[in-house]
Order: sequence, then C-alpha cells, then structure tokens
Amino acid sequence: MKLRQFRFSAVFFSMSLICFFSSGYALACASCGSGGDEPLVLFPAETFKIYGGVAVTPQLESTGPDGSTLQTAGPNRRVNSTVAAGIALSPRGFFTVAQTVVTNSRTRTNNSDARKSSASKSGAADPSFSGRYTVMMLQLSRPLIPQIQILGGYRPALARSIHESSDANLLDVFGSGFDEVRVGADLWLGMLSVKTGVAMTLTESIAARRSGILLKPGTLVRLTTSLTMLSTVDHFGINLQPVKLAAGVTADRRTQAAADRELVDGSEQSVNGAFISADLAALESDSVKFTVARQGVFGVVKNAVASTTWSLAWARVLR
Amino acid sequence: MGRGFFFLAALFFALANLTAACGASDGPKKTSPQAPSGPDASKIPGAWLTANGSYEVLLEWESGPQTGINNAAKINTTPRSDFATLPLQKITVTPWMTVHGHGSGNVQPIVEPLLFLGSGVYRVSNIFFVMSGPWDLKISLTDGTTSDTVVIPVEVPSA
Repeated sequence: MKLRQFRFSAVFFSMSLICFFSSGYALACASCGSGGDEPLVLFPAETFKIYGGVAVTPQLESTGPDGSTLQTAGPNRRVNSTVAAGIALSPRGFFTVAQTVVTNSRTRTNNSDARKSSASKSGAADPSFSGRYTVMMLQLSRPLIPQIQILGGYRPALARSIHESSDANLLDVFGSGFDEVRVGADLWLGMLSVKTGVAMTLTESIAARRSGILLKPGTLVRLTTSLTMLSTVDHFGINLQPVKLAAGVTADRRTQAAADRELVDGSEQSVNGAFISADLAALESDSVKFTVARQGVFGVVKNAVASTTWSLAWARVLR
Repeated sequence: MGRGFFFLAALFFALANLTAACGASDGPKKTSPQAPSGPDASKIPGAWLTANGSYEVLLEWESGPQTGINNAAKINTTPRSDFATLPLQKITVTPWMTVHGHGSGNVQPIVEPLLFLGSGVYRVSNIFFVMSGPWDLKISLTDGTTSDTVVIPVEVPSA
C-alpha cells in the first residue's frame, strides 16, 4: 500500500469511527445518527458499545389539527435520560437495546401572587430494540456509491400511557400505549469531504383497545437528511481532536388514526425539524456529543408537539 | 454494486407495498358520524339525537368548557321514540379528544340526577379537558334493557 493510500485509509477510518461512535437519541440523523431512532450505531470494527445521554426539553407546545397552539394542562418540560448498549452480530449487522427514564414537569405561575409552583414525576419509558444491517458497504474507489443500511426496530408498550394515567396533569405518562414496529433504509455518502445521508423509516403501531375503543395510530413516515463535516481546531499550536459537525432536517408525517376501524378525520400529524450537533472523540474509546434539535422549525405543526431539545450524550466502545 | 442495487430495489418495493397496504380496502373505512345524530335531526333546538334515535340530548354548560379545570354541565334527555319507554338508569360521560386519540387520563366525570329519578335531567361535574382544541363528549344512556349513545362535539378554547 502506498503512503498516500494508507493516509487516506487512516483518515477515512477515523472519520467513520467518529461518525459511528455516537449519536443523539432525541433526534433523527441520517447514517451517523439515529435515522432509525436507535441511540447508538456501531462501526464494523466495534463489537460492543454503551451509551448514556440526557435530553432536556424546556418547553412543550402541543398543536391542533389546524396547526394552532393548544393550551394544555399537561407537562410543559421534559427530561429524558437514556442508557443503551449495542452488540455486533457480524461485521455488517448489529443489535441495540435502549431504555429511557422520562421526567415530566409542570411549572405554573399563581395568578394571585405570581409565585411559581412545580410538580414532576419520573418513570420508565417504553424500551426500544433496534437492529441494522449494511447491505452495501462504502468503497474507497467509488466515492459516489453510498453505504446502504436497512434497519428495523420494536418498541413494546410497557410504560404507562395517557390511557392509564391517574394524574390530571398527565405527569405520569411515559409511553405511547401502542406496540410499535419500525422498518427503514439509510443511505450515506461517506467518502466525500462533506458527507451527506438520507434515511427513511416507517413506524407502524399495533392497534389496541384503549378506554373501550380499538385505537390505531396512523403510520409514521420519517425522512431525515443531514450533512456532516470534520472540523479540526488548531489554536496556539495545540492540535485538538477533530470535531464532527452535523446539521440536518427531518420531516415527520403520520397518516390518519383509526378508532374502531374508522379513520378519524383531522387526525393526521406533521412536523418538520432541524438539528445541529457537535461530536468530539474525548478519549481513546469515548466520544461526547452535544445536540440542539428543534421540532416545528418550519412549516405547519399539525397534531404534534413543537419543542427545542438540548441533549448531551456519551458513548464508549468496550470491545 | 449490482447486488447492492438489487437489495435497494427490493427494499423500496417492500416499503412501497407496505405503504399501499396501509391504505388498502381491508383497513378502516371513512364513514360519516352517527347518521341520525346532530342538532338538525332533533325537535328540541340545540339538542342532539342519539345514534338509535331514542333520545334527544341537550347540553348546557354551567362552567366552562375550559382547559385544566373541572367543568360542569347540565344534560337534559328527552325520550323521542317508543324505543325509550323505560326511565333512564345510567348515564356515562367521557371526554375524548378524537383527533389526538385520547381522553383526560382517569379523571372521570360525575353524573348525578338533578331533579328526581326519571326526570331526564342530570348534572355532570368533573369534566376535565387536559388541553384546548376539538373534543367530543361521548354520552352513553342505558334504560336497563337497551343502551344508546350520542357524541357531542365541544370546542375548548385557549384562554
């Protein structure tokens, strides 16, 4: 191998390592992130990785079928604390499991004396089981040939949902109330200086009888596209670790829900989001990622929640 | 590369089929709301006719509707057909946000006869709307042998 080829391979390997090292859980990110909603993805050379992350959403804004903001008595602040682990089943495929603890809070100002009061409850969310398989690998000699992954996931409805809530302010709602199955594909052009990716997932909820009604949420289609580049900071002669900067947009569309097998008019959901993130390889096998994601950044937010989430995540390769 | 594109084509073919299947005729069908229901079908101005045409139901708010408080309303039921010959024995009221697919948790409205049993007038308290927007009040009426339902739309305004 020539020296130039070796350097190129080394750079590519480093980029890929950082790219696959960690990802945000609270947002979707094509290829290097959670286009499939899994909190972490594994690079082919990795066999076992762990993850921990905290995502804070200081304000939640529910919207109605016409896109108007709804006044709500529910939680107006949420903190998600997530742990996850991933194991490689082969050089092309891996499996991850993730569990989140949700803390719902509601702060309100007393009209009479303007004093603020707050209440919060914490509980386990629905666990998530995900997997990915690389159908087509990146090729050094063909930079325009994308990496293609197929992905799938399952999220059983184990946590308390709004249908079992006993709190008038819904602070004890931690799960969706429906088993969810997810499939998708993820394309990534990782050989270019500015890497780009696109991912599409379909999430199908399993119908369940809730409050005496056979309910079935619509099919969720999520499209994610992102741009990623490496930035090397060199100040005062000190070479710092390269930082991976990423930005992207998401589009979520959910078809009409059904109640007792009848479609519910006006129940479609749509929300567009955007995110930026900075990913730093902190130690030899660790990485830290900071992300800001905004749901409802453009377009109409319909029957969904507009919010800004700040998240900090850490991941470590154990093997 | 050829193998990869084969997988890609197969994947998107499968996804397209899945999407099409979601809207196939085997799934839920869009129907109009309960056919005989609605204020236009009733003899009492502003009242709603139940699904089987047994009763006319008039809803009058005493407080609300508002978000985050326990609202109260008066429900006046009037028999409309021979179907409803027995006095009502039980009424249940369930707030339901149909477009979002949920109610208000386990906060249950309390239904009490307002005058005397059989008068058909009830007071419903503890009606809680967890958010503003389009809600439905699902009212079930039972006379001991049969039951009937009516769904009354309620627009809960933002403060």
